[in-house]
Amino acid sequence: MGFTKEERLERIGEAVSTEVDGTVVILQTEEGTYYQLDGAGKAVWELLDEPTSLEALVAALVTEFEVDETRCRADTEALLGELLDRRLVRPLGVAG
Amino acid sequence: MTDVEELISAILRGENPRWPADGLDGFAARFLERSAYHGVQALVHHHWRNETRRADLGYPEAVWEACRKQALAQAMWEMRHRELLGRVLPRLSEVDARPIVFKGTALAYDLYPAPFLRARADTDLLVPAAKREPAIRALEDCGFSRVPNVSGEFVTYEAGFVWRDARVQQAHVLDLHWRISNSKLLANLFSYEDLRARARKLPALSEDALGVEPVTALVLACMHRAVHKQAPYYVDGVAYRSEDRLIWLYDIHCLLGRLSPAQHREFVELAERKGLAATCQAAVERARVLFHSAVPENADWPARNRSPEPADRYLDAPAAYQFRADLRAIAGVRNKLKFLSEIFFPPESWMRRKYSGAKPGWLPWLYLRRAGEGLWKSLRRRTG
Repeated sequence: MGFTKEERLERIGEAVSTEVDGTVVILQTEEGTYYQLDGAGKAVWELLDEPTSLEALVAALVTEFEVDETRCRADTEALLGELLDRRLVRPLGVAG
Repeated sequence: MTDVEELISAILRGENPRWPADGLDGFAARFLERSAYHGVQALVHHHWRNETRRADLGYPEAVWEACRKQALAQAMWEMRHRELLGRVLPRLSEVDARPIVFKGTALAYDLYPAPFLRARADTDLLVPAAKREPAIRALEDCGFSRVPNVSGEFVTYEAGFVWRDARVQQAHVLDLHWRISNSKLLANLFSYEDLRARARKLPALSEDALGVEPVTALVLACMHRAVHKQAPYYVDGVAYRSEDRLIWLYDIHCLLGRLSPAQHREFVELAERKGLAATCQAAVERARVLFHSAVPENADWPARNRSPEPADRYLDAPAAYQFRADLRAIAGVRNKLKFLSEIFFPPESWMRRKYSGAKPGWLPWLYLRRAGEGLWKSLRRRTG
């Protein structure tokens, strides 16, 4: 499943999460599968609490982690693709 | 109390005790065994979050990692458990059996920084006695299977239900109660209606969740702890009988910290009124010793010069006394005989499961064996 850089994504209702010692633990309740995210992955998950685009995520992460923007965009895009594949987030379209 | 338990208690008090200089592998193994038994590994992990301080105090990384894994496992269990309760609670309300969540789960969502920190094996739900059957059907509709158990009008006031996730080897158990306790003598101390009249919402669990208000919750926590002097509880499949499990005392510590001075006075009065003053006082004292729990100044318990109240006496008594007291608490000879028959002659299906592998013709002997085992256990506990 693809998405554009302006398209907003949000967590799906079937993905519930909790934090343990700097790690976010996520349960996909329909599939019964668990995932863990930490570091920048955890920050992405927290930002996805509200509908957010790739560009907005990258801007926030570059500020927070002081990382190279190009590398950050590639890593974030890959993570979002994985979250979409695992049905933890869903695309909402472009903000009007 | 052992040196390991003193260290655990100090950690839970939020202090920064040093790991003992001579605490080699044996001590670490005992620390892990005792913290698991007491149900506090995730709480220990929570208090140990500061990595620099942890290293300064000499805590072994392997112990920290074991506690972290337990915290993660509890967090994973909690997410699914909450999701299941989010389905079950509205379903029970739909059949007019709105439950009151009590004991571990209610306290987990009311008192703890994160609910998974309160280790537990199940959730206790209290429904009106008249709504027992619709509630049972509702739980089955939600995908829960009934746990085989003895059944009858007097032998038990609860039914267990389980939902299993084989993929991650999780079991989620709900104990559906229609009385607050299985003891005939204790069951009448608090009715569903009493608790419902003062129930409060548990929004952290779900918008449908109702919990017990803190004054009554504290009395129930003290009673629950004392019940386990005789009633077994299970940790990793092993049965124990003891009142000194730290997680229960930590609940009492947290509840005490929640009460205003006026509520504390109300707690003492309620304990007196229910005949549970000695039980509650002992639990509060133990929590104060272990966790330095906050109790208002001038919060003395009234002097008791008379003999113990029935509930206090019951909770401090051997199993044989409790059995006689429960029998006396049942009104009418006919009901008493029914209670005895439910104990000694449980349903055939239950007997077949308990003694799986026995031939069909052995059933009468199995009933005799059960009666003999029950008598032996009762005598052992009486003299043990």
